[in-house]
Amino acid sequence: MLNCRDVAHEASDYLDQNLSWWRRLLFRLHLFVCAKCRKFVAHVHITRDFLRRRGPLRASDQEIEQVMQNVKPSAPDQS
Amino acid sequence: MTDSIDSIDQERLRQQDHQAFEALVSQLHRPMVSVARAIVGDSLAEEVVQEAWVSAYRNLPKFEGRSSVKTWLFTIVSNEAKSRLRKEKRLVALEDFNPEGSGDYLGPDRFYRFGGHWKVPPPDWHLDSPDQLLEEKHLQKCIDHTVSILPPQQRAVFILRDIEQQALAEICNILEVTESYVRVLLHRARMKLMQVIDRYQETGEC
Ligand SMILES: [Zn+2]
Repeated sequence: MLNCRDVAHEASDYLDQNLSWWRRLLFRLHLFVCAKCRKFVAHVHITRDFLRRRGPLRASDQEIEQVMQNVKPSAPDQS
Repeated sequence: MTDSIDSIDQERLRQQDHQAFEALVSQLHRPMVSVARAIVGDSLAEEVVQEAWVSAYRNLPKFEGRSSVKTWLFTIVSNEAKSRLRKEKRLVALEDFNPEGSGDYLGPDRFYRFGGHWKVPPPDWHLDSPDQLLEEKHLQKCIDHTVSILPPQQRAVFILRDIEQQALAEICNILEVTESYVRVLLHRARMKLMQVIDRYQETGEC
């Protein structure tokens, strides 16, 4: 059997489908009997989906400008 | 999103079109800096990324689209960083590998030593969906700040996997680490960010 500590440490692997089928079964058995771990795994799930949906941080105009200046010497003319 | 990487015309990229290239820089510069930092450390990262962009630009006409543009660029910056590391003969301190470790959030105080049950159980959340969390402006700032201070490898893994959606195998190649280590780092990063959400739910602060 898995205990709560195991479940907490393996929650990402469970949600990302990276556990073996046997480990996954043990994980689910634990969730079936443990409300605290169900809550924990739900929180990890919400956290992961929230973070994924925020999307990437864009570069600032200065950062883009700096890259373009370095790149331009090797660039063909674009007038 | 309307202006995602996929919407950038690959043909225009191959022709080294400036506008298309700028769009690429806008979206991938910061993730590329995270990759470089995880390999060569903070002081050389910016320089390595600039070199990577120049080399990417030059090689655009040869980009065949066998991998995605993103993966192609992450590989370029990773190779640039690794060769720089060899030149500098410098060792970058890696995080301690702690198999138990999801940081303090799941540290020994969180569970009973015997039996492994929760000693400090997960708190209730009143904002309990991604949609609700996405509406909290202050929380977004707290998250951005926490991402910026994650240890370099953790941050790179988190950005590559959860934000840029690179496959685990690609991340292993880019950062030269094992898959099990990538998974450990990813969980640690998520736990640190979840800790921020816990605190925000309780206090409205971070
Ligand atoms: Zn439990």
